[in-house]
Amino acid sequence: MAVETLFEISEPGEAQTKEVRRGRAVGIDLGTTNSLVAVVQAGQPICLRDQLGSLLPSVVHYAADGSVVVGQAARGLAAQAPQDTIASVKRFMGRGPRDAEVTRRLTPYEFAPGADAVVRFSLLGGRRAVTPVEVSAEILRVLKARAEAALGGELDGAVITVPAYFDDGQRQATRDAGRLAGLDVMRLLNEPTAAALAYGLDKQAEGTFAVFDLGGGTFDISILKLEGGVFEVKSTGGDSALGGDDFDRALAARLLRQMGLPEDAAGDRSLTRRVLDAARDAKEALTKLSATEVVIERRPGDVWRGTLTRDELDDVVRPVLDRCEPPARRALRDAGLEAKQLSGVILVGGATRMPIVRRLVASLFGREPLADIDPDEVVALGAAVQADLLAGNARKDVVLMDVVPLSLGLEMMGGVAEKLIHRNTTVPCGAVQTFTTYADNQTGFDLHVVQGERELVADCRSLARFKLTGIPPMPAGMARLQVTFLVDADGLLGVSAREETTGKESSIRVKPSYGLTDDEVERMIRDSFAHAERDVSERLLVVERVEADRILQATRVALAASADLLVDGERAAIEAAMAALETSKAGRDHLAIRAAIAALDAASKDFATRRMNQALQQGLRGQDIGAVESKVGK
Amino acid sequence: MSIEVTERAVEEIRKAAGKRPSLPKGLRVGIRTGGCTGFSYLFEWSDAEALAEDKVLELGGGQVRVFIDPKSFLFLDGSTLDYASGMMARGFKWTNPNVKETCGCGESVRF
Repeated sequence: MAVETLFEISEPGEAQTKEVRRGRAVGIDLGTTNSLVAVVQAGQPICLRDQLGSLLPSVVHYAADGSVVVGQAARGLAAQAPQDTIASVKRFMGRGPRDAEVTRRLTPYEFAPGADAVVRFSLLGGRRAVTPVEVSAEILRVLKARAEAALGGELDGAVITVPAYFDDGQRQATRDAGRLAGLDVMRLLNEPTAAALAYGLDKQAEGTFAVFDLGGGTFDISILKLEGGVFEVKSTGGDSALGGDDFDRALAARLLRQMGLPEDAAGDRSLTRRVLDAARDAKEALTKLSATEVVIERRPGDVWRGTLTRDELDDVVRPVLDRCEPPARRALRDAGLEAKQLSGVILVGGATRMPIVRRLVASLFGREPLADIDPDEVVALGAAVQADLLAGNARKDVVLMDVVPLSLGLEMMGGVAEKLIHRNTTVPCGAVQTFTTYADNQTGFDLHVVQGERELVADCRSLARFKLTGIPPMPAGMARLQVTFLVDADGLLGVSAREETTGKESSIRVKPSYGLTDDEVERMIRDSFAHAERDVSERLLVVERVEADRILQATRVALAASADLLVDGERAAIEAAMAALETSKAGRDHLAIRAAIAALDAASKDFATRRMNQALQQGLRGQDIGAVESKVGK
Repeated sequence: MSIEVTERAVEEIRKAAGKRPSLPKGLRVGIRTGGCTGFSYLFEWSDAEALAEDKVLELGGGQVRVFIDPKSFLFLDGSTLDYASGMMARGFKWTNPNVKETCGCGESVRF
C-alpha cells in the first residue's frame, strides 16, 4: 500500500536556498599609501569623501593619551613621532617577525620582543604594542564610519581588496582586520580584478587584460584572464619599493640642486618636507601643463622661485620608471603571452596619471591603456560594484539575474541530468547532494556540470567538466561523494565535490550566464515544455536501464564468485530472470524493466542471503571489516 | 486535462495564505526531478507572479491561485488535491493516478 503523505505549504525556495540579503554594502581599497571606500548609488559606483577628499592616507598615529588618529592628521604627526605613527602597515599584514625583518629597512618602527607568530609594533616607548591587523582595523573603522554617515545607517557588508599576490596568511589578516573593525567581510577581491570590474570588463565574452598599478609606494602588474565570466589571475609581478613617491624624491633632489642646496637639504627635515610637497604639486600640475612655476620657502622670508617643464620632469622620472619594465615583461612571459594578445590594459594608481607613464604603458603593451576612471579610485569602485552584487542589489544592466535562469545540475550514469538548483531560484543559493560510485573499484568521478531544463544531458548545455580522482578502490556504492552547488549573488556557480571517506576534494567555478542571451534561455525553456513528455519517459527509461545494468553486473559477479552456494535449479532460475531483464531492457517500457528487476531480485534473494551469511562468518573468523562490507554490498 | 482542487483544500490554502506576513501571489505546485525515487512534489508559496508559460488555476472565486508549470502539469493531470485531517496529522494530500510507487518518506514518487 502506498504511503499517504500530507503536505505543508513551504515558503518559496525554503527547500534549498538561503535568504537573499539586500542592503548597504561597500567596497574598500585598503591601500599601502591611501585607503578608500566606495558604494553603488543609483546604479553608479562612487567614492565617499570627507572634507579632505576621497583618499584617506593609510597612516595611524597612537597618541600618549591613548587616542588614535588616522589619515591626514596622523601623517602630519609622523615627523614628530615616527615610531608611534604607523604608515604602510599593509607591508606587515600577515607577516611573522622574521618576514618583517626584511620590510623593516623601509620603516622606522620598533617591534615588540616575543616569539609571537605575528609582528607587533612597539609604541610609546614600549608601553603599548599593536599588531598590523589592529592598525589596519583603525583605518577600516574610519572608512566604515564615513560610509555609515554617508549612507545613513549600519553597513551590511564590505568587500575589501587585496593584492593578487597576497598569500593566505595575508588575506586572513586582512579579513581579521575587517572583522575587528566591525565589518562583515563578504569577500576579499583581488585589486586587479576590482579594477577590471570597475570597467565592466566582466561583461565581455572573454579576454586577457594587463592591470598596471603604480601607486604611491608600490608597483604591481597583473595579467588577468577572463573566461566564462570569471577572472583568473594568470601572473603577477612588480616592485614593492617603487612608486609615485620615488618620483617625488627624485624631483625634490633636482629642485634642491637648482636651489643650490645639497640633496639631503643639509639635514633640514622641515625644508625637506616643503621641497617634497612642492615636488608633488609640480608633478601633478605637469600632468596637464607643459610648464609650471615652483615656489619654495627656503627659510622664513626667503622664497625661492623657479620653473619646471614637463620635459625636465620626464628626464627625472625616466630612470625610476624604467624599473617598471622588467617586471611587466616578466609577468607577460609568466602568463605565456605576448603583448599583442592582450585585449586591454588598465591603469591603476595615482602615478599613472602622468603622461610619461601612459606613454611607457602604451609602448610596453602596444596599445592605449584604459584610463577613463580615476586611477586612484578605480579599485575601490570595482570593489563597490562587487559588494553591491553580493548584497543582492543586482544592476539592471547586468544580464545577471537575481534568479537562476536555467536549472543547474550534474550528469548522472546513463546520461541523465540531475538538477541540483532549479530554474528561477533566487540567488544566492545552494544545494548539496550525496552521490556514490556506480562500479566496483571506481577510483574517480567525472563531474559534468550542465544547465538546462531537459532531462537528458545531451539536450542540456554543458558548463564544465572536472574530475575527482585518487579515491581508493571500494565496492560500488561505498564511496560517499558530497557535491555542493553554490550560486553567489553575482551568479557565479561554484561546484565542489568531496569524497567523505577519504576527504579528497575538487572544485570548479563557472559563470552560468556566460554567453547566454535572453532568447536562448527562452528557447531552452520552451523546448523543455515541448519535449516534456518524451524527456521524462526517456529519463525514466534511462534510470531503469542503469539500474538493470548494475544489478545484472552484480549478479554475474556473485554467480562467478560463489557458485558453490547455489542450490539445484537456482542457477537456471537466476539466469532466466537475467535473460528476461536483458530482453525488457532492450525495450522502451520502463515499468517492464522495473518489473524484471524485481523478478531478478526475487529469484536471487535466497542466494544473496547465503552469500551474506558466508561473508559474515568469514568476518567472524577475523577478516577486516572492509572486506566483509564489500561482500555484503548488494 | 485538469487538476481538481477540493473545496476543503481551497479553503485551507486561503486560510494558510492569510497567516503569512504578506499575501502570496499564488501557490506553486509541481513535480521536480529529485528525491530518492526520482521525483518529488513541489508545494510552496509564490511571491512572484505566475510565469507566462504557467497554467493558472483560479479557485474560490479568484481568492486562491495555483500556478503549475506545463511540464509538471503533465504529471499532475487527473490528480486531486485535497485537505485531510485525521488523528495523527493534517495536511494537503495529492491523489495522483499517474504515480506508480511512492517511497518511505512519501515525498518522492515514481511514475
